[in-house]
Amino acid sequence: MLDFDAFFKELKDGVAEIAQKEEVNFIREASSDGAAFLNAVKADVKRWAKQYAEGKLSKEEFEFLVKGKKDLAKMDALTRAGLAAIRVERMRAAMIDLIITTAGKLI
Amino acid sequence: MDSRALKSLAALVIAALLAGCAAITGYDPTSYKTATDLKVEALILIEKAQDPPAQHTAAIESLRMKLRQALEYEKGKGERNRVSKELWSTLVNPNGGLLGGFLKKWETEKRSQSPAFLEGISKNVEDAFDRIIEMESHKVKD
Repeated sequence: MLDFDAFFKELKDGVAEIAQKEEVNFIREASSDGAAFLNAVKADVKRWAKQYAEGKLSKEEFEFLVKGKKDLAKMDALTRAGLAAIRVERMRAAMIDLIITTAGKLI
Repeated sequence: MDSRALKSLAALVIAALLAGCAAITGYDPTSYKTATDLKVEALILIEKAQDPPAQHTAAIESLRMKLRQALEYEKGKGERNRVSKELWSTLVNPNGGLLGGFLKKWETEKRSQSPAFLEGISKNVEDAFDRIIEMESHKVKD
């Protein structure tokens, strides 16, 4: 008789373990990265506003730099989306390994 | 077919299904090297914008060409490389506020740029390259 039950139980436990590990890491990293990005933007824009007030930056230069921060915000969002996709990709690779290892043990 | 063969077949089918649906391209050492090399080249050129652009025409054109080549390389990897392609597009956009926009501004104005502005644009461009490098370095290695 085929022992698929044992195979799928072991697989299920392994998948849950991979998912839990990846999810915890992702939430922790995403939260700290997001806060760091916003703090950096705030500090830079504040400094540029001061330099604009002091005449070290022209209005056009100030606006250009702020436009750059908007582009960086877009890049930040893209990077987060990409990193999430990489998590999925890592889980997929780990699951392939798990399937092969689990099947190997049962054969 | 015996049970061992069936189990192996089932495992292979599941593995093949998973292998066939990658959401994003894997790590590419060429992409990583291009991004790190161009980051250095771009930041050095930005420092030179204390001069009028006419003194650096060849360097500006050379960098612009390499940026286009990098973008085309990333585009060529297809839809699964959408994030990296979009990151490069944002960086080199001549109407944006990063490297592409900076090169256009410098050339159009035909004059040296102020130290405070160069400090700011240098930081923004460095951060932008770091996003691209971070993205590539996190991708799954074969």
